[in-house]
Amino acid sequence: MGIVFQDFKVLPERTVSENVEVALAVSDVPSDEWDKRVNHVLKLVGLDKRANLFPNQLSGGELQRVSLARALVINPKIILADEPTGNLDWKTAEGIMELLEQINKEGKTIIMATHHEGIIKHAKHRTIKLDDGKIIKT
Amino acid sequence: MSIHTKTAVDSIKRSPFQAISAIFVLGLTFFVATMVAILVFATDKTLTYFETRPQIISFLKDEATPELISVLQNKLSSDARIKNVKYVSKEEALEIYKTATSDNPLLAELVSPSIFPASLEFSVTDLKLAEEVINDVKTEGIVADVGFTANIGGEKSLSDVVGRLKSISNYVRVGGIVFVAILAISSFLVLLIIISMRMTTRKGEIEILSLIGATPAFIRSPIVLEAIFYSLIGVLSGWTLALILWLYASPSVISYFGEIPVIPKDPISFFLLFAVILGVELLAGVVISLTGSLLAVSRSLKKAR
Repeated sequence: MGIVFQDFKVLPERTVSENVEVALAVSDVPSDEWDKRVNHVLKLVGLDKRANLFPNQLSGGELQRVSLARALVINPKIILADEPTGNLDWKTAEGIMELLEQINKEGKTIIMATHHEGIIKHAKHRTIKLDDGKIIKT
Repeated sequence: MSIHTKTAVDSIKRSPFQAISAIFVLGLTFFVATMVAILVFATDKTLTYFETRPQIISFLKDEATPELISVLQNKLSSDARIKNVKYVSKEEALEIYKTATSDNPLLAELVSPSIFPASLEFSVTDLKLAEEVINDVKTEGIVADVGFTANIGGEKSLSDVVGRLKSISNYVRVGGIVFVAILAISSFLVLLIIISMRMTTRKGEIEILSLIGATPAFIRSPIVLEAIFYSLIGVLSGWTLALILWLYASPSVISYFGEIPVIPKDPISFFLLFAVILGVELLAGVVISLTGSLLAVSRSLKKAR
């Protein structure tokens, strides 16, 4: 399972590609596969040309893409996204949602939490509404 | 380079002054440890030298024939309490005298071989047996007198010399161990402080690594590696400094102590001694860094929870 956080949770002192590599190292993926897999996901999230930059050189949307790339690189069946657009402006949030849609179409299950009604209407997927920790609509 | 090694190297590069202070303290510890090890070696060698050199000289009567001397030599050689029996003729005794008085040749010219008695020199396996052996040898017909060699520093007998050397050796050993232990504790504490500081500055990173599923071993690895780097560099710098000093000083030390083998005279034994010290120090360095860093990590992780 891959996890995407609202506040990105990227490692500030590692480059974009190193942030993604960490997930592979944690998952014990052999290091000879790292380059290929990191390049693939960075291309998927559109950060292939910014692989050697540090987080403080990236915008909010790009940071969220790093977080998404890190979640995707371990090739999970399910991605748990905790308000992935919560810290982003609408335009950037739309970009992230498009990316999530694309990943979903490639066969990944995405469970996403959001407070954003617009995103729910736009996404048109199964929605479970919670209020104070209780399911009020499925 | 593995991800852990890279993280450790980056961490060292980011805080060079912390790294330098850790390496400096560890280097000092292992420099002193190397010097103390060599001093302990030297005192042990000196002690062994005095314990094994001919301790008893039985001066033979002028009328002792070569046959009788040979019989006595064989008898002494077969005695379990006695070792290293050596015959010294009148001429050899004169040579020894000449060598000893080489700074004043007139003294040597005044004497002839006839005034020096031939002797049988030997050591005892245990100095406690010396008196008993001397009394036995005195009863031999061709023996004129029996005495100890090497009265240095005003000691009355060789056992006094050995006793004095033993006490010096013990002082060096105990003093050295205490001094090195104090320095080792300081190094341990410095490592503990530096690693704890590292843990504090890496708190955010540790939290993120935990969230993405890193095991405690994964989080610990770069921090422990960093501590091991410090101790390895500390050991190598301290040891190298001590080696350079000894290489520089050894010709003077060897010539000052003459035949007493305080340090190995041949280069292979000399470097072998230093290699053994390096091996032990590397092991000690790894133990100090492992325990120090693991303790610091476990304390910090406990606090974080």
